Amino acid sequence: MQGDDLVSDLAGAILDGEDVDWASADSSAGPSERPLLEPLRLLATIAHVHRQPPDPQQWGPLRVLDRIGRGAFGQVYRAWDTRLDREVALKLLPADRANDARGSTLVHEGRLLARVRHPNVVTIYGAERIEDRIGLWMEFIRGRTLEQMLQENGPFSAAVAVEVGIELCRAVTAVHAAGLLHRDIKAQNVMLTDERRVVLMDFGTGREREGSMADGVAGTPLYLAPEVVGRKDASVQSDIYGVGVLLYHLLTGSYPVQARSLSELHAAHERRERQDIRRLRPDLPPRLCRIIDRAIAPDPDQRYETADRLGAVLSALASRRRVGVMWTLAALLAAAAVAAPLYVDRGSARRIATPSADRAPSIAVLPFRSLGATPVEEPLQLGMADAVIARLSGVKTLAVRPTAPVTSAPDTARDPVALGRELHADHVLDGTIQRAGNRVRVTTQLVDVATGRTEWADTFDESFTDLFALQDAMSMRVAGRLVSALTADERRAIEHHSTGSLQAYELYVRGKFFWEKRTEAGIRSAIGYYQQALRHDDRFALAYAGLASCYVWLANMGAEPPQSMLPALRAAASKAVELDDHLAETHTAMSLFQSLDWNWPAQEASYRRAIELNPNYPNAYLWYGLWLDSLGRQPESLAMRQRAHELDPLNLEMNAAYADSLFKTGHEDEALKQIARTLELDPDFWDAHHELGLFHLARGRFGDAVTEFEKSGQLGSLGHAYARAGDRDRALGVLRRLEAESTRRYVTPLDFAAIYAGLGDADHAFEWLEQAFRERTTYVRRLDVDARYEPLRRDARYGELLKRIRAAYLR
Amino acid sequence: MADHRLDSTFHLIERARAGDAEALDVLFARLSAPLQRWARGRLPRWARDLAETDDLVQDTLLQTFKRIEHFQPRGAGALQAYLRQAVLNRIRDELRRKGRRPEATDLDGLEIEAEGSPLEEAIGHEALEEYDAALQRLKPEERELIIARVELGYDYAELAETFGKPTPDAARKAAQRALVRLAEEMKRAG
Repeated sequence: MQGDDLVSDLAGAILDGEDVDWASADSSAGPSERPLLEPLRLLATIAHVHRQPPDPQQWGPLRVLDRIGRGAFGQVYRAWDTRLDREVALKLLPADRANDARGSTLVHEGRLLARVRHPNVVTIYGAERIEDRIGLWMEFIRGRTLEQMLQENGPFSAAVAVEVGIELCRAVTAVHAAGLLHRDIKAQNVMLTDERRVVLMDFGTGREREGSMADGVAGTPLYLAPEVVGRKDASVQSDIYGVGVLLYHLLTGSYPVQARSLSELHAAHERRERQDIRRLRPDLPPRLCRIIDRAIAPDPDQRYETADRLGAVLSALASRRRVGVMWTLAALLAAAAVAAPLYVDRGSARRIATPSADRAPSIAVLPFRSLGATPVEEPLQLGMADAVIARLSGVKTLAVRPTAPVTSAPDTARDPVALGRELHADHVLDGTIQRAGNRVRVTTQLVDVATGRTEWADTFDESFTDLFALQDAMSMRVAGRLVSALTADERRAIEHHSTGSLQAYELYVRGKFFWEKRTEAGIRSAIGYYQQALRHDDRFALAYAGLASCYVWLANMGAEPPQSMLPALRAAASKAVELDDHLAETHTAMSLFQSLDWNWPAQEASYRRAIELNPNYPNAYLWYGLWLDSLGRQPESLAMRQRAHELDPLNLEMNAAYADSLFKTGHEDEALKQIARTLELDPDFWDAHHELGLFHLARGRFGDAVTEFEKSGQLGSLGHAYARAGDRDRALGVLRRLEAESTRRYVTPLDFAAIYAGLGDADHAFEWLEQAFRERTTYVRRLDVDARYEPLRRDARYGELLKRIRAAYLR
Repeated sequence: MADHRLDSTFHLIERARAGDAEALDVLFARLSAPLQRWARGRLPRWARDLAETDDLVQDTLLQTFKRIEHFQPRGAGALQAYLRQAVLNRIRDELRRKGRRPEATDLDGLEIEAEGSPLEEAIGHEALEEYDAALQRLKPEERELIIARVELGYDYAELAETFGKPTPDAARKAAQRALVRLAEEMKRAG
């Protein structure tokens, strides 16, 4: 391609869908042609994208869940391996690459890579050509790339960089030992996982090398060894060069050889130019600088012979001060996690479960006590606390404990310090509220839980109609007391009112009060109050979110047919988010709708959004944990429910859910203790008895299970346990009773399924499970984690049904 | 009744305008598949279910065909370009209506702005606008050639037939000239 025809030839190649060698076009272009190269490259990309088929729903055995990235390689997806029931990352080569030689090379190399099993190398599961597309699927890594950490935290310290270098050399050694080259070592391709493992990702191919060159901004060419830029074969030494550049980059944020285009880079290499690392980082140990110099020597023969050797010299440098470095690394990761908890991956439960809430001062706001001749009603007492909590929740550096837990504490004799301890709070806001005619007087004191001392006290007098102003003033003072400097955003959050109507707010607080009871009657009352609140203010996002929670509760508990709740739920959740996109409550409401709508990918995204918006909102963790549990993601579920429990330690539901996760992750003793604590809070809490019954069931203690299920009042479980305990007559009795009730009210098919499963009548059990699946009963998704279905698990129909359920839920 | 399947698109349009229902059916079938594929590339993944791309395309085609007797195309390429613009407008309305974009995520360490359509993701929002604007500044036939070849994926034989070129090679040359013109327009803007 030369002379006057260059531009036309390039246009022709783009139209024909051929690969264009932009590097050589760049070098042969004349002055009038060069400015056209950039638009032509763009057009080549546009043409290329148009030739791509849409994102697949399924590729071979993999169900594609969502796209998580795009590389020179092609698209990267999160996918579910339906054969092995595990989450994987899938990279699909662009469709029009499937038939060229590089595609075949990739499959071949992928299969070789699959043989590399090393903790520092991403595990490749397979590489195949399926339905005319070439794909590579691998371990799904949750963590952050070194490049991201560099961008967020600035250059690494020598100790941390050395530590990363050592791990990386282990990875590269393993790759070389398999007879392969990596070819694309760069900070974007190395991840630090949540478990602090350094993992080498993304193997390059010849294609990537050519494709990403000549692009003045791409970082990749700057990692390439001079001989590779000069089109000689890559070697072990060119990978070592890559490791050297990576270390240089981590330490300086820059590169040893800078260039804006490939021709410039080539020329710089020809001149053997190097930016001396000592100039950028005079503080580095001279020995480390010498090691890097040698790794990036222009002449491959001057570099280290093997990656193992490079690793060894780094280790020798590190051994003296090894202690404490991994701690630094961990701290770095933690800092990154706090800075942007949701940036890299959607799947990381640990990440968002560990924001720095422990370091942030925490505060519990107690319900305000009533003083004076006219007793103030309970909802108003709670409401005042709720209003302060809602406002303080906007301060991200403050961990605010919810109110609900303390509602059962007796009003007069309460000890704020003891309550503060129980709620794991550093500070307690205690107060009284007095109403005289149209005036309200509120007195408050802030108590330091550790010392028991009063840190601050104040009195607020307002006319009742200015209650909101009073709440603003009080919240602002408390926040100012606990946080050194409020940001403008935090001030705005405190002053943000979810409704301007006092009546609406009061009704909402009443609704919330009944919601917290978590009984069917309570939920139905809550619905009434929320609806009344909305009649006073139809733009009250929290009231819509509250309604959504109630609807989903009724559906999940089998009080209403799930699909019948869907339209109202959809309307409430959508309205909530539409009205206020910045509340954890509204996004959680949306996730509840998505749960009932069997849309796991969307649901998970909503939970993450909620947690990101307010890392101290316990309900998001609670519900997210429930659905992680149903997917068998027990460790993540445990982390979520533990967090929910930490944030709301006296809440009955959070307590019971945490016990469930402890039991399922093998912490049986702790689980039993946790249930006992829950029952101390409320000896009649049905769900605690139910969970305990399920534990007994799982351990074959059927008699004990019967006792607990009797207390829980859950008939399906009770009938099941009777049958397992050998009392067929009673089991059949419960069955009849449910059948009779089902003519008057909705009875969830799962209750029938559980009893038939207990009776050993698999045919009927599966019939009812199918019915539950047809009705899209949400809890049918918990089939695999519910001890009541244990007797069915050896049946061939079980695995098949489970598969269909998962497929429908995971989409 | 003649078998319309082998008729040229231009001929079909003529017949359809004259009220031939069967010609309209064939035309519909012929135009909808490439447009649907094209539309999927212009819609972000998150919006694709909701918008039900295929319905959207079908609907746009129906709306256009209802008024086909008023359509005065210079050629079949003009109809395709018109339909592309109509679908694009519908997509934009759809996205505006939907409003919200989900969070962007990333595995490779590659920076991705909020998730857009595949095309937007590949070249960025600004470049896409620039491309669309430069496209509008071309002569109609140049624009239509590029849309038919680059975006809708017509092969050169179809291109020749649609634009009345004597041979596939002649069609390729015309498209090639158009693409160079487009690059010049984009350079001028950039």
